[in-house]
Amino acid sequence: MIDDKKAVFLSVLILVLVPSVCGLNLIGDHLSPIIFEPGKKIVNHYIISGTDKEVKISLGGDLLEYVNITSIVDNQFDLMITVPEILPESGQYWFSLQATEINDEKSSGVGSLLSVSLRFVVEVPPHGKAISISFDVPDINEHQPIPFSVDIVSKGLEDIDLLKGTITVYDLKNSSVASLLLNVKALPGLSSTSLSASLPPDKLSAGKYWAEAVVNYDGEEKKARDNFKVGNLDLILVNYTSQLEQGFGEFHAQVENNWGNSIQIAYAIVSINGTELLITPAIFLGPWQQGELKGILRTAFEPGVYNGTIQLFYDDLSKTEDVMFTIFEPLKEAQETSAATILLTAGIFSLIVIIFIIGFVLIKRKIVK
Amino acid sequence: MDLSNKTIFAILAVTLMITVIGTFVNLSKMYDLSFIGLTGAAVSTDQGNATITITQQTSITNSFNDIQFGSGFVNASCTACVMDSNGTRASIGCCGTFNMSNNLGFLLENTGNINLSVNYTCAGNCTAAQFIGGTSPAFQIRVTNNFNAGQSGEVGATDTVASCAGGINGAGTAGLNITSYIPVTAAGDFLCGNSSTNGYVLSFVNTQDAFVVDLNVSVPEDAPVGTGQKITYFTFNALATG
Repeated sequence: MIDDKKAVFLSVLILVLVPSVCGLNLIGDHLSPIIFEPGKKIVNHYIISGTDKEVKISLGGDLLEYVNITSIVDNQFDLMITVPEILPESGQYWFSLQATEINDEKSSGVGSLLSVSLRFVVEVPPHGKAISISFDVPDINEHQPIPFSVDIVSKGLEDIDLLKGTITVYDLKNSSVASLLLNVKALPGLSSTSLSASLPPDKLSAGKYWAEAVVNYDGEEKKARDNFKVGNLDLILVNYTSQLEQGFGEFHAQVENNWGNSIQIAYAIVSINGTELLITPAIFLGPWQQGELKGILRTAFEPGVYNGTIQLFYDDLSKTEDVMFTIFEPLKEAQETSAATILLTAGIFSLIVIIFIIGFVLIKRKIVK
Repeated sequence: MDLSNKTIFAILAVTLMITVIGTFVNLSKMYDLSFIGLTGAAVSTDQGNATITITQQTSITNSFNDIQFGSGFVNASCTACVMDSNGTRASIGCCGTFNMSNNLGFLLENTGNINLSVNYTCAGNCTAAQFIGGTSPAFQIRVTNNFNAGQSGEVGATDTVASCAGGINGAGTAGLNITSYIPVTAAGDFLCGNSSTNGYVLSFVNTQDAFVVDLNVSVPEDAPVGTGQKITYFTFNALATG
């Protein structure tokens, strides 16, 4: 049995050790962005929890004439938004809903209260017709149809009667190489759709292109463009180590898989003046992926510029890229020479200092005598 | 009973037909060979939809909400008594009878399911002159992520990663706004993040959702003797998109 003194001590200890935790939760559906449509009514229910204090609710920000809150009953209330038939000027607005604990009468010290604020983004659409478009063309293998699709979102209140478009494909010299019409549609206000078309296989040879989509909506026009690639089974040499140190040195070659399937085995043979110097280890490349072929090679050539080849092997195919290599003397020797010069200079300087000191001591002894 | 050749032939023909048709039907069902053209009668179907809506819970918890420096005086041999809510006492011998046991700051934690930014405002005696008085008093505030502060008492798991580290507006590496002591003001300031689009950097992930607000006071030797006790209230406001 615990005696009275111990009981008092334990009570005090528990009071000291119990942490003073308080919290404030505001629970309700996420609304942002709120699109203002004429006559629309939004009611969102909120629950307050986690606090034993009284909580005050307040509103702030823009468009408050259309926003109301009900009084709090059982720690619950509603946020009500009533959009007028005639909308305010189009644009983006915001308003906030704040739940704040009310101060209980504290006697002394430094206390704290909690508050939660929700910031709502409101978008008021323009009264007329407006759209936003996004255009994304995928990279695709040759001999396959190329799908084009333009996603369109109506940002205006007014319906669009006739939505149509064209897509023009250009090569990297900006010459038009293909064009096609997108299907025609109507688009109600504030809704979304997509216009699509497909370019038949073999209309474009392997290479890099860009496409421009022009969307017309009831006399207005909007444009978007995207780059894409028609790929084939090819391994492209992107970059390589062209400066090689005489003797042993590292060689790197950046290569790119030029199609939408994997290349199981890719490697290279590096030669200078017809002399084979390196066979790199093989690597795997995923669709459209870049990778690095690397190895250590030994060059016994005198410093200078040489013709060379990088023979690329990928799956059952191979190709040869003619390249130039510059071979330079190892930097290490130059550093050794430099170090030797420094040591020699330091040695001569030390000798001069020692001779000077000995001479000074001898002269001093003569004077003393 | 004797069966004629015609009857036997008819029975064989019917059997053959049943076998062939049965084979087609079975193959059609097994391999979904609808092109064979044998389909069953249409049956009415109905689709079932499963929907789920995750409700936003915007929550902040303060696991230490009352900092008590107590009442006391500055010892005669000293010019000031400096006390920090984290328990550091720069001049412990100077702080006669003040509360020396408080070693915790306000521990604020995101206990909801959406990222927050947090600011503070102050009510009551918010300036050093009001809260303490005398010559060169100090009443200062500072924020430390709880991974570094290591204050116990988080509602969720203790932080193992620095909180408020998302950067503000893509600049800088940290979203903590007051990392060294500055004077407390009534208007306050952002403590973690801000209210810009990408300023909600206090994560709701349990391992990086808390930070500590510490207070530092310097009571000068000539601080006026109070007739009553000084009260100061901090309001910590958690902001989120609604």
